[in-house]
Amino acid sequence: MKTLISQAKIIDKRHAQNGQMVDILVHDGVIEKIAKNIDAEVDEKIRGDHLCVSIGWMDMRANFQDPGHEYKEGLSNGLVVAAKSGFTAVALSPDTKPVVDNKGAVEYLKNRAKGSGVDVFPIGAVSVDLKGKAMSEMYDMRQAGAVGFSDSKNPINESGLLHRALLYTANFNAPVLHFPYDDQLIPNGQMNEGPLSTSLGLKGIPTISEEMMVRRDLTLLEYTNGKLHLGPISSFKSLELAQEAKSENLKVTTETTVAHLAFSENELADFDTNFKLLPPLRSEKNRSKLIKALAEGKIDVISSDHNPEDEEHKKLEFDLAEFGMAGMELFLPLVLKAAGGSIKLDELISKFSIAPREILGIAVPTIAEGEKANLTVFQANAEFDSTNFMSKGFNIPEISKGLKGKVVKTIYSN
Amino acid sequence: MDHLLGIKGLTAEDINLIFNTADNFKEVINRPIKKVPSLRDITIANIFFENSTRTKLSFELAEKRLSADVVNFASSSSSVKKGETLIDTVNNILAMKVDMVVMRHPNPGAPHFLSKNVQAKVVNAGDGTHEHPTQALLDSFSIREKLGTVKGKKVVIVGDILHSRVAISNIYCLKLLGAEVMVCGPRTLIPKYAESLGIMVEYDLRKALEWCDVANMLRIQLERQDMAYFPSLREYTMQYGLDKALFESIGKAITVMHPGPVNRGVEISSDIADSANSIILQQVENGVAIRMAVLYLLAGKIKSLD
Repeated sequence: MKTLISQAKIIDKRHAQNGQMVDILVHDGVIEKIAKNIDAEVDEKIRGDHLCVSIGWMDMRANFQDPGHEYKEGLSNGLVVAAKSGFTAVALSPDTKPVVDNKGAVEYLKNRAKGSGVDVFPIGAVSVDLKGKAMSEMYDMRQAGAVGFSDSKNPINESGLLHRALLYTANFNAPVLHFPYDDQLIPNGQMNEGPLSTSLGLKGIPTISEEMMVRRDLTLLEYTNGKLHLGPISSFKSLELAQEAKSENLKVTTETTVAHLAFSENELADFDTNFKLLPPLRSEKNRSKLIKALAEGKIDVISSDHNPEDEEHKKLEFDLAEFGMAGMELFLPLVLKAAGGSIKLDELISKFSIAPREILGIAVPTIAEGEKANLTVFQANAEFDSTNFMSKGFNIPEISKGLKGKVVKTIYSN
Repeated sequence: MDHLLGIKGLTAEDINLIFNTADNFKEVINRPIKKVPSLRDITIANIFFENSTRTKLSFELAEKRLSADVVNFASSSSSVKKGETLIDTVNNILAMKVDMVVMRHPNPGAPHFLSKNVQAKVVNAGDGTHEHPTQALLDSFSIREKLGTVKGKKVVIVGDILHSRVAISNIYCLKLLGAEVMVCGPRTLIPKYAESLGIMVEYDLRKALEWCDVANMLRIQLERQDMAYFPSLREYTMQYGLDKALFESIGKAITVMHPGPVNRGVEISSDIADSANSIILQQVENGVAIRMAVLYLLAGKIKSLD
């Protein structure tokens, strides 16, 4: 099988030909030739206006609800959605049923992904059954292919557990991914605390519930000299705290979601549960500061935080609806709309291609002759097709027409 | 308006129309024959997912005085949570040819959600800690009746502002009608962003009373609080209870209101509740007239669709 990507601009900040137009010939999954013009008999030719090619993207935070709630998405369908959205790799959160807190669960995910064109990198649970008490067998999971450890959206309230997890995982060089959220400050919060939550009568989640936890986490990180990834971050102040820690050479990285860059709490004015997220969407002012922080390099990773839910868990009274959005297919158009004007395209793409792999210790693919093809071909200027969603998620938000950003194809076989 | 979901979304003209309609109905309910045939062909369901005695009674009386057919449905929210969804529950009732739904629900936004998903006029009779529009309308109507106008009056709302739908709706309504609004209570029960609603905040009851023309003393609803926001009722009363001694020391006649039911000796003492300055019972009477007006105006919308 021969595929020719015709006249595409390389978008890869590490590449010598970054920004240049090339033809790329892929033969049986291997990059055979890269040149200005390639004349070859091929089975498939990919062409289009303003074509771009980058290394295959990686989504650092998604949940396909498999095992346990396969009807909400399922692994097979989730991987189709991932490939359609431009990803050749996804890190899957451990909050499934049962929880990914043992070797068997890790192997299940790894094996199921084979042949799908998308690599799955499981994130193992820090604590058994995500209970926040006893540590799970993280070493064993690491051997089986888990790339990081997290209790997902269950914040680790017990400082001792995070302390031990940071120390323990340092032995096998896997980061702890922590969602910084003090859910004790104001329990059962539903949205960002501010004028809007006050007028809607919804219980607010103040930004300090995140910032206080970030401070604690960074203090523990300094004490343990571990490796910590904070996300999703919703408050710009958290990023400043993390930046300060980075300047002191602490091994900390940060992540926000595409939704937090693209939307603010204003989407909730009419109780739209598709925008009920955790961490919550913050103020418009905060959102613009997140974009600024992104441009200044203070955000390492942008993830989709794809959390598909069915109608029964979303079409409900606001307090009763689950948190989360099934936004993976909207990833490119939303990330371009939110940040396309503020940051160079190669920098932007690196936030969901190079950075997640580096943080999780995964080999970063390269676009070079003789290398295995791991590519995403896309058009930043083409209109997004909003008529053909593949996700089973009910909670795909309605978006304005005319968004730009189209994934043409991913080229990767596993 | 197609529904009455909250005061937010109404204009001053809407409110004045409701008040003028309520004036007529108040006259009606003081006649020997208190009934009019206005809603004779309308069926109204009162759906209460949260306990209520007074609001439900007031709506039911309003409906009956308008000659509507009335059905009642009461359920604890937990049983609904476990089984049938809100939309299913209401659609089941609507399938029996009900035209309007009056709903009380513990979750903010529930009537807004319902209005988008069922074919009926929805009246919000209180949605969690969000709005309670008919209460706010009857409160402003009662101020207008007592003081001639709402415009320019200084109104303080005292108590648990954090969990109060009465406070939020009252703030919107009073401000639309041109009143100045202040809230007063312990810091733990005042939303951090209260001032963003365009109101003043005062933590000292005496100062608040010295400033105001009207004091609306909210009921302390311990059942709505999920944790202790103050140590004891005794200590609350010491700081935020209105009694005769405090009232007289202010040296001016403040109009005292309360949405009921009164915790006598907690928010206000009996002698204040029963004094000539209190319009608590007028509020109750006006509640029926206001609810008649709201139902009548909304029912008019149904007929115009036919």
